[in-house]
Amino acid sequence: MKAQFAIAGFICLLMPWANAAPQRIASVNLCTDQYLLLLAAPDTIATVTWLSQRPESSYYYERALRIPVNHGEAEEIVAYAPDLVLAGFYSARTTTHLLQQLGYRVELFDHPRSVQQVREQLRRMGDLIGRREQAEHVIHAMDARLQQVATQPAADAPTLMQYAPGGYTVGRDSLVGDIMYLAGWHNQAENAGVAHLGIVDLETLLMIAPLALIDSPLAPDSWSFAEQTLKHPVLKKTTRPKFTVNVERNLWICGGPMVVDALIALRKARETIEAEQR
Amino acid sequence: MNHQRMVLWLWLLTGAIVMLFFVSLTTGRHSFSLWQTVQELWAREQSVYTLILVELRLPRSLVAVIVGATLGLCGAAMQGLLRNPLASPGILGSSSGAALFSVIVLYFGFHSISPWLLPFAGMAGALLAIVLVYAMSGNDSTITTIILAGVAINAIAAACISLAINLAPSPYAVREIALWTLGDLSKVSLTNLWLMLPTTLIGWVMLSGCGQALNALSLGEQTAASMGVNIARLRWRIFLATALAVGAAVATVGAIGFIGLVIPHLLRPLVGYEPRRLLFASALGGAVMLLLADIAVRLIPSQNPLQVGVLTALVGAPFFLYLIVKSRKVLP
Repeated sequence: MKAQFAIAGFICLLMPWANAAPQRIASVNLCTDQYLLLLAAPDTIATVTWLSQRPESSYYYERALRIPVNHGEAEEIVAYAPDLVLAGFYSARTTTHLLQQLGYRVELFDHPRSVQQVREQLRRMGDLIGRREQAEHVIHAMDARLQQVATQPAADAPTLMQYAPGGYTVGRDSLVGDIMYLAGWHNQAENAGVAHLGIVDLETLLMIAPLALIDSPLAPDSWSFAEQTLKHPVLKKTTRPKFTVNVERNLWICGGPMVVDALIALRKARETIEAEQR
Repeated sequence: MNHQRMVLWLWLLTGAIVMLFFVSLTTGRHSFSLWQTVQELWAREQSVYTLILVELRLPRSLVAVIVGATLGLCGAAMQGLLRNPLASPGILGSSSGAALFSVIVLYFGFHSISPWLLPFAGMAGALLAIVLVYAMSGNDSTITTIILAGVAINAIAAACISLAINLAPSPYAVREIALWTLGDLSKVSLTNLWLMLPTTLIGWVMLSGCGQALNALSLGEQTAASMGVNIARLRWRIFLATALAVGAAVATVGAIGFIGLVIPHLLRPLVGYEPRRLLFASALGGAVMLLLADIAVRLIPSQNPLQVGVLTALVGAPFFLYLIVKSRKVLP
């Protein structure tokens, strides 16, 4: 009996430590930054990436302005002595490997491929940083807004396609693709055989001829060969794509409740274009 | 060398250009009838096919011919001037000089001042590189000194290109570092073609008048001077012409290597080792080589589009090695 009490007492002693929320959280990925800035208490965030302070890529950039930034280097992260490191699957791989070897607690997040995955990631993030309640609250508010605006493409839905610098495009199995679907557009990239991520050359773009293209620049007014693809004179001469739909990049580059705003922008654009086509 | 056989070879090369040009027009991700599309064009109907043909494939094929011809011609002129089998726009640094200046104009917003700035920036870079190589190696330079000076200029230019692209504001710039050194014709539009054409044509005209002087120069500088050739003027004329043509070409499609080196070599025996005739033959040969390479990159199946410069380097670099080994045997 005594021994059982002792064990119970020991477990009780351990409990608060085991459940204690991390107090010095470091993030080395723009998208884990966004979840963190949304859910965590500001004083528990040790550092976020430098990209988080840039309005064109970070939706919560104002909150990030008060937080020290990192460039994804292991040396920088170690200096903060974090009790939790958040990272993406594909970015800063050497850093995350190294930190894992050094015994830091590293949690990896994949890029969400649907609104459903955004919900799951918000819950997971809430659990990791001890803010599950806030996460549920955010999801509830997001779903309430979604219920009002989300729809499905009609049989004769207009066709849309993302055409990013370098000819990159996305299919249904992606966050942007899912939002296009929920905004009632038919994603024409699927007619080019793109399911997740793919490159479509100009010839193919002219052949599959979507009605509208999404313009969602990462850095407006900069120059690169990749960005030149979008300015090729042939796109001015062709009758399809006819329209351009503008969506702020920071609304859907990462997961979060702001994707509903991207959805609303796409839905409004669809309704305007449909009215114009009639 | 039989004169008739030489003429036959030149006709063969011209025929090859015409044939490859049509192959290039019909090669792409989607196949359609060229004849039917031309008929649509004739009837002034616009369709997807006419757009693909006129706006995408036609500029691409024309630029391949023009850039290929420029590289071949300039290679032949430089080899004739320096009387050095290893001289070419790529090895003597003019391509990388042009690439550096173009990168600065393109990636740092100067492009928006005027699109005409681009070919002239390429020209200035090419000219600066040639003059530097020439100044470093001196008047009576050996093969080795010229090559070494070229290596040095190439290295400096490559480092500066990497630095410039690293500092460039575009998020895509870093990924494009490699592309500049490998050249690409896939994004060329008719606008690019019009921009590069004037300087290129001036360069061609300046070079085409150098044939007789180069013939005389092949007998040695003193003999040429005694025949009334002003060597210093000839040198500047060729440097300037090469800079004009190569600068515009590199600014448009990036630095495509080895055409200027390989083509004059392959064709020299066919024109009876005569520099004047080699100029024209090399222009034809360069166009053939670049058209072939650009058709090949479209036919080779790959996930991401291949760079045309990869193919010319895969052919050209082993040839360069072969030339070095050969020149070691000939030289004392």
